[in-house]
Amino acid sequence: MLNFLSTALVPLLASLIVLAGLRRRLDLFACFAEGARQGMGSILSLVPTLVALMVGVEMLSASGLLELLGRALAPAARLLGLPEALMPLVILRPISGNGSLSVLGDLIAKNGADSLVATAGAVILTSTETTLYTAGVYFGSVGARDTGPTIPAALLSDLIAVLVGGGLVKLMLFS
Amino acid sequence: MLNKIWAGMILISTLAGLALGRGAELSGAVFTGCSRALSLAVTLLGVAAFWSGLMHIAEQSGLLAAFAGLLRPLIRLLFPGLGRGGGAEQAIAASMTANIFGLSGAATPLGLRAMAELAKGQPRGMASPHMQMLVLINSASLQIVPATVVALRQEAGSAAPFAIMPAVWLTSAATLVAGVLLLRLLTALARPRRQRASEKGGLRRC
Repeated sequence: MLNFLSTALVPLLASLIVLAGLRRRLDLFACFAEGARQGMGSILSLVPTLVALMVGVEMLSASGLLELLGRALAPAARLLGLPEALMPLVILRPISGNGSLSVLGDLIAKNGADSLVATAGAVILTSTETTLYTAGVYFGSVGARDTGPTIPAALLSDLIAVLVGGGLVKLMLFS
Repeated sequence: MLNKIWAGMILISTLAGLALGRGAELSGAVFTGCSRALSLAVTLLGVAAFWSGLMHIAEQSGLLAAFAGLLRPLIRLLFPGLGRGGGAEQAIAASMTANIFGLSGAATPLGLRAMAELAKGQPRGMASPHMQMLVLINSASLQIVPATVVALRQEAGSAAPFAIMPAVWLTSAATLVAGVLLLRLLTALARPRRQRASEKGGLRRC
């Protein structure tokens, strides 16, 4: 059931949306184009950030530092039952969305999209958010300085996402 | 934050790379990074265009508003005591809907509007429990179709780019539940401490 949903969901969702638009007699094509233009604009405005971060990530991995970091965190990775190569992604994830996307792109390029590392990385990346950035922007917008236990709770639940996501990938896709 | 991290990435890798004798690789990395960034953007461009186009139809046809209505019971569970049908409830529903459908461009402004609604009539400087809950929910990514990462997998020749989705759904649901419970637990633990501090005559709010 879950597998059927995951393979057929995108066309089904697209059809549902098109049907809803037809029922309301929307100018579907113009409406789509307007939204698509906005979506492309947001990716294009992302390009400078991606260049900056991707160069940073490539330099880190060329310098050999990322390996060293991975090796330093290897005991933690083993304790959690995760591949060592995932650790840079886990650390960067709460801080920078584009940065962790760059690291995932790197993992996919080096190990293949269907490798355990890249698949677990994909699941962990998509089931978490840039926690620190989100909290900063949201609390900052209302001038809240006393934020209670929100940030520790959110970071702990990110760690739970790493454990659950890594475990589920092994269980559902690699067993 | 990102400022320091980025500067650190460049400076530390230059230092470490030169110390480890990897100057040539380091120079090459600058150019690989640039071209990888562009190919990443190109991969994402088509998907982002298609997805935001569809979502614009969903929004204009009222489908998103109907979905936001379905979220109401969940919102009442997570935000006890919130005014029913009020501006805050609607703003929270809209922001959650944008997150669930992966409208990354719309999600942040809608979320900030929800924060502003929640801040009405609250003392400034302190995040109310409802604000804390909203930030927690929005920092646990609930998403039906993780379009960006699926596109990345497809482009890299994955045999089944969508295969990650069930694992993603289960993981983010588990993360959200864990986050909500942790927030409640930590709040309950912090309460006595905060009371003691205020009895001692803690900082005066201005």
